[in-house]
Amino acid sequence: MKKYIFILLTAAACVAGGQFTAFASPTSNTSVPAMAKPKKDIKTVVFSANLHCKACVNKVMDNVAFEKGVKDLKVDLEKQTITIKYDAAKTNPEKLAAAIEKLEYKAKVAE
Amino acid sequence: MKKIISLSALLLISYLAGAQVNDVSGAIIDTTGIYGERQDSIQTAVFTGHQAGNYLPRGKEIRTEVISAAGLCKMACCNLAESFENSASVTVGYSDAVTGAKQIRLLGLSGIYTQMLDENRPVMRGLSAPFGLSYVPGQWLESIQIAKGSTSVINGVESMTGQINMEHRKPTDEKPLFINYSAMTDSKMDLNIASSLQLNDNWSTVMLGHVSGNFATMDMNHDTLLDDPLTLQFNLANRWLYYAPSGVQVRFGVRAIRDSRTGGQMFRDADNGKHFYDPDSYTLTPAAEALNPWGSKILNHSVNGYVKVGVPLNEDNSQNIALVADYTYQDMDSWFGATKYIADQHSGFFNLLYQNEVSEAHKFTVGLGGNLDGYIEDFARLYTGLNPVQTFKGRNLLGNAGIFAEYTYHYDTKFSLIAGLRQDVFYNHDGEKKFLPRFSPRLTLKYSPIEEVVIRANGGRGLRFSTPLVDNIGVFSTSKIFRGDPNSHILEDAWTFGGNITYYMPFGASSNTYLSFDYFRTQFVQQMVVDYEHYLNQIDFYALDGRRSYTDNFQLDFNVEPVERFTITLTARYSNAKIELADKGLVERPMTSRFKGVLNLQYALPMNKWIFDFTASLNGSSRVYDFMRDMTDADGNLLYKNGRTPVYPLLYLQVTKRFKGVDLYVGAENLTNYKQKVLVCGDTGADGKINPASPSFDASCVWGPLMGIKVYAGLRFTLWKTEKI
Repeated sequence: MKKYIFILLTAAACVAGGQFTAFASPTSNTSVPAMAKPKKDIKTVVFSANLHCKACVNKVMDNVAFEKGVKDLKVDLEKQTITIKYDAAKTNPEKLAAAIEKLEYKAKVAE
Repeated sequence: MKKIISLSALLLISYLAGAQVNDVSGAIIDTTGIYGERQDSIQTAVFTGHQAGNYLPRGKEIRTEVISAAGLCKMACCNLAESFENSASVTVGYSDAVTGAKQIRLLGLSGIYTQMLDENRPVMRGLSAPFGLSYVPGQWLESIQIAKGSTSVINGVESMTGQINMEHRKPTDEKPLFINYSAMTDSKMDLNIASSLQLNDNWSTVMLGHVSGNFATMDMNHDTLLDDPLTLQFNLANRWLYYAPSGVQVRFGVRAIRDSRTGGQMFRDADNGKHFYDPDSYTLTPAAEALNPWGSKILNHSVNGYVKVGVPLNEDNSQNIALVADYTYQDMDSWFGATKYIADQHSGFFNLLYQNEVSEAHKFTVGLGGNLDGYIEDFARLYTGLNPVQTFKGRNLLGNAGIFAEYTYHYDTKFSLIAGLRQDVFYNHDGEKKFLPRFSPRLTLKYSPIEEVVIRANGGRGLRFSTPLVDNIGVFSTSKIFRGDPNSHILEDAWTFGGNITYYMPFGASSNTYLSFDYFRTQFVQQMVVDYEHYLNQIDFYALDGRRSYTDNFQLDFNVEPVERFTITLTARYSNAKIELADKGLVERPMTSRFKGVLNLQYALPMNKWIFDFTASLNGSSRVYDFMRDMTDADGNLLYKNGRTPVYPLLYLQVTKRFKGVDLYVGAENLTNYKQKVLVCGDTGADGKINPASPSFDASCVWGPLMGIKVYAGLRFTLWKTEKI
């Protein structure tokens, strides 16, 4: 019994440790200027969109996430907004709006 | 044929036209909520690309655990049984070492006391129950809700420990094509195809297809029994939704299943040819040179059709009527060694409801409904020694019809009450008393003194007819004498009471940090007891008749997202299940694990482009049957110290890489390679091997994993509907 508890806790610690290492790595990369690549121009745009339900959210999440230059994505069903972090060198709000509209939603850059 | 082509063309044209189900304002209708609250609605409105796998929704009056679509993708989840692997509430185990049938336990009791619902229609009843969990492909599902305790009276009162409701992929899903293929190292393969098409403003449909099989003949522990049966399953469903501008909604669908499975011994002849169980040639007294492998052969066919109609009676739909009708035909042809069980079941279910939402505070539903099950059975069992043949053959009709009323009161979001009353008349055509009137009250309370705390309590009565042989399919995988009356349909009667307190804590990266505690008690007034311990080498079927039978269950759940996209879920369950057996007194219910702990860790990269899942479970010990207490392994070591099974861990790992429209996943199950050492109880023959003809032979004493490490890989392809198509 004790053996199994030990195995489980060790395994959990290994996995959790692995995860936290994963969290740490981006930070450590940014702190090594010798490796410095040209800094990306990461911008954020918020679209208002006519989202109706969770299925719409999934559709946006599963498609817009894979558009070129998209770095992060949040969808707020209550506020009917899609917040996208993107690499300005690779895409722009017009292209992103077109990607949302291709999914049959009206997208307008929020004020 | 022309009709099929025309229909296909119509589907294609409609699909290419990009039609969708819209309401007058142009919004896509969320059609899941016709008959009540949407079952899988999640409480948060902000989605960060990471949806919780298992969670406890705040708004539910009854303590409900939701396994979301994300949760169903955490593991192989080839079928419904495997979907519960990361839940402590539900324990999954094999019925025996031969058939591959899996059974669940909720609140420490067999899954037969849990009502299974398919979008609120009762399913997996009678003959459909033993293998039913294998007939729901995990990838057909959108979510699963596990409600504990005494649930609504609307769908009958067969639920004693709770309800498990499955939500399938919807006709309104904007996914014209979904394909899933997975393969395991044990040679199990799964192919699922789904297509949701919106034909026009009113009609939409979803087609679901599944083929799976297990083709390898492995015997890793060299006990001559196949580790997994050879199987081949075909499963097809088509569901429709009609939505009229008037608000009338009609859902209907059909489904067909064919499944074959051959398990048991495999022998090789002098030419290395494989020989499996054949019911036509198997005999209890074979010639000395005959191979005569023992095993099981099962053929299941099933057809189902249903219709649900919802009609609003006023503009705001605060008053409506709904009709649900369902028919299932199940044919089970099975042979186990020298036992034959061939049975058909015709099942009908209907429900007629009137719902009136008088105000935001008061709502009531009244209605009438019932079940009717017609069984045709042909059973014969040969034994060596005394009482050589046991048979029964004939028809029986079981059913119930009842009226019910359910009143719901809400005071703001602080307090809710659901009071349900149901009066049924149960009918057993072969019973001493054909008609049995029964009254079933149920009460649910929910109180939220502050926003962060939810307290729930519920209680009520559950009633169901026992079908002893199919409820305990493992009994066939023995050579023991059936004593008592294995064909009596007792009206089982139980009360379940319990409650839950959930504290939603103000930390973590999401609003889904909670600590929850449950306690539930189920107490039987009447029960069919299947007693392996009353007489040696016999299985005794008898009614509880005033003896005691109860389970107490405690569960703790903790969920937190310490940093964004990293979720930790920890649950622990303890069960104290007791039963008073004839001439033995009150004892711990055998083969019922005392506790289970589950730890699930999930980490996802932004937008779920990579997902890492790790699940560890610790499975508590069970009291073994008396005849297992002295069992030893090949080295003569006692297998079950103190008459209990060992505690064992199970580890699961899965990595998913997501591309646009394609998910690839690889995973492994049972990473500790833990296996139950000896799967078959009973005397061995002169060759030292198991002897299925011996009256002590028992392949149903299964409490742990039958197989070691299994590695699998799969892909999911999703085509979303866009303006171009």
